[in-house]
Amino acid sequence: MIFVVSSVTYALKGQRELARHNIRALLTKQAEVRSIKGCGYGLNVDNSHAAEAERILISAGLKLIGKVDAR
Amino acid sequence: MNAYLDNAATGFPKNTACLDAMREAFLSCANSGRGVYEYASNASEVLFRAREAVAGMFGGEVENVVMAMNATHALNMAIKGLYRGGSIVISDLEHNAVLRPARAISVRVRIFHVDLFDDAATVRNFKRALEKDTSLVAVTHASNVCGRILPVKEICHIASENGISSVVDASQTAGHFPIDIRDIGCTALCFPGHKGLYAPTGTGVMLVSKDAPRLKTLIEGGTGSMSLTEYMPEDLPERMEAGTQNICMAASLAAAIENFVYPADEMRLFAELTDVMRQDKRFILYGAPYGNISQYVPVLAFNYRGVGSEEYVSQLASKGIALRGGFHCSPLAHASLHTGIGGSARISIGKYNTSREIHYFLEHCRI
Repeated sequence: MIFVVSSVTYALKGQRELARHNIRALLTKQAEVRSIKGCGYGLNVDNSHAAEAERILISAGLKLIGKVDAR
Repeated sequence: MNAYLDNAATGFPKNTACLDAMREAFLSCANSGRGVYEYASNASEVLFRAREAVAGMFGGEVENVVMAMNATHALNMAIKGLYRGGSIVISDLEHNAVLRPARAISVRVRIFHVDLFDDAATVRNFKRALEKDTSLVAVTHASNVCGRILPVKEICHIASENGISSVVDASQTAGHFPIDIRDIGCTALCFPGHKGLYAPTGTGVMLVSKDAPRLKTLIEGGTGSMSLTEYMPEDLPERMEAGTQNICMAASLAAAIENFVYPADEMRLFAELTDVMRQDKRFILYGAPYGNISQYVPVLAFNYRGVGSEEYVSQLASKGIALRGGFHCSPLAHASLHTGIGGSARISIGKYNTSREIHYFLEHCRI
């Protein structure tokens, strides 16, 4: 699952937050991410952690612009 | 140079950890926020690390750390970004970095007097300056001319109670003692990296509080994000950071903060210096501490009787002593302190100054 955020700042903040919970997330700018607002960043998380990751990101105050399936 | 005593202009010597960090960034970083390839990712990491360092030292959220060229740039972003019309209230100790942006955007700049011996009187003066349509308060945390610390916490609290945004200029306090934006309660805290933090010139920060209103932009352009919209992104920090950011400077700022240790001795040296100069009638001190040194940062304005400030500092420069003369870009403060037509000389002590340097100055300060 890819969580789309508005900028690299939020992507890195989200990545740090997930790492604190032992969830690995990779930054991505693949086409599905760009299609949402253009030049956003995505956090690619293994589907098995998607629900938990979403909860963590939201509770950390990150605005999620969208969610897309990872290729 | 035998005694560098102009730390209010810029802290010196610089933290050499900054050089290593700048070099590494110079060699390994492309543009931040422009891709996930290695060099772009390096740049994004460097910039984010600088935000983390600032947020760690001054409180607040990483995304509310906006990079600037210097404190003046940061103050312009904050003052112009938060102003919503009506009057602006500032103190009579402000630097031109506050006064000029305020004058540029408002025909009514209300100036309140700072009482050097009574913070409660200062707060009362501030309250009297407020008007029904005041939308912004901008105050220095400490004067760059006389070093007096202002009661910014009380001022920002009153501003907040009245729905007024507040901007604090921490140019002379950042790095001298711990500061937390949440404790001060201001809307935006602005400071340079190159003074009390000993990072290179060209570094500054606007730290915005969590509950700040949306800032108007100072400049617009590419941010590497939300590119399909014709307007600047809503979210900080990118909203206020159009164009390519200075990654080398961000790396240096992060290094300066990560290796930072608060000064241990500067206030003792300041007390010693002030006591000696006060006893010599050849010196005129302006706004200097008198039984209230805890309300000061180590900055002292003075004149040597019968000698203009610029001539005085030039003579001392020839002896290897670095001071600044004139008006220090703060005409309001000089008027308030009655320094006269030539302004004053200024000594500003930093954390790397030693007793030996202060004694060297005291040996050569009578010309």
